[in-house]
Amino acid sequence: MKQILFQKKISKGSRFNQIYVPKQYDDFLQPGDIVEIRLIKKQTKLYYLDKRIKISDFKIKLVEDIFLFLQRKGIKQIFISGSFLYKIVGYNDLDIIIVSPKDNKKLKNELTIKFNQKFHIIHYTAEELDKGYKIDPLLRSMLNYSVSNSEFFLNSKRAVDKQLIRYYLMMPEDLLKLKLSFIHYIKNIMRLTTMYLFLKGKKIDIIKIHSEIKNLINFDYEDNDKPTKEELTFMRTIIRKKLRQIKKLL
Amino acid sequence: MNKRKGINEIVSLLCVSLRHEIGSKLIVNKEQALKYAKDANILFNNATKTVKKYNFNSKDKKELKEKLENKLFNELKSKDFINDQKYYLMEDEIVKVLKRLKLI
Repeated sequence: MKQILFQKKISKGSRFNQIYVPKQYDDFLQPGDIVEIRLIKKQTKLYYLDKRIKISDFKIKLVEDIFLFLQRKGIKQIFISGSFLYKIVGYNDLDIIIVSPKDNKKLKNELTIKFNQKFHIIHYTAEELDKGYKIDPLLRSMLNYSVSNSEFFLNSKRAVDKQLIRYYLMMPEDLLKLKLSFIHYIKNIMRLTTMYLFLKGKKIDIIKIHSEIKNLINFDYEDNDKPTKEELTFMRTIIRKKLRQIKKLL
Repeated sequence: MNKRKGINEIVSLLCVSLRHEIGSKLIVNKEQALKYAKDANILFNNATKTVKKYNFNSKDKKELKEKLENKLFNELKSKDFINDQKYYLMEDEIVKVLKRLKLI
């Protein structure tokens, strides 16, 4: 039998997805003939949960490859979030939220080996994610500014879990006494702003939060530097003020 | 370097780290808290750096453990949103962390 080879894209149909056979093959391929189909390149569509997300071609390719890698492992819903999306250079690690019934502890290692990047993987079941989005300001801020491999509708309903908020307040409270590097103060000021917006029922906009922090902290710093006494006092004053505002709402 | 100062610094960091660790295990929506349980690690890593600066003898290690037990008990007591199960977890978590740091 004569070998016929051509490449076509699968198109979406109302009941079935389909592949059209070009008319030029009419003599060889006719209705009723049995053919074999082989996948050559998987199409990955990216869904941006915030329209302002603009990432470089390199990052798009990396995200597509990561999604493909994880989809091949049977994971249906994946989100990429964090500094990778909003920092042009110098992102810390790739925050990946995986939604699947079971947590695969080996994934982190497999991803690191495959892509040579640092990963922070957070696993959720679909129910946990749904509940988490409702009660967890930090998860909400991550998902609001993320890229996903499939459509995802965010339920805007929110519920205040005081215990969870008080747990999240422990670190900023500790930073009033402990002396750590810059990044921890900055991250916790961001965390406090996120929680404040959540408790006020306002939209958590990570880009706005970043620009607010940039305006507040107007001195130069490296993430891992230890702040000076004056810088520390200044950041602790902000933390104290934000803690007070949040506690009033609890 | 002043060993006593080192012991106090390590106790402070470990105490807070353990409070975060225990807290994350006991709050109702722990599956949420555990996702971001990096705070305990950050503090533990800082304690590890400080431990490396010193050469503690068995007397120092004993002192460190005792101070950590007392301080952690008081810290946990002040966090009323973490249920009383916290006191039962305390000893195990202290031993675990001190073993990791080769301090017992």
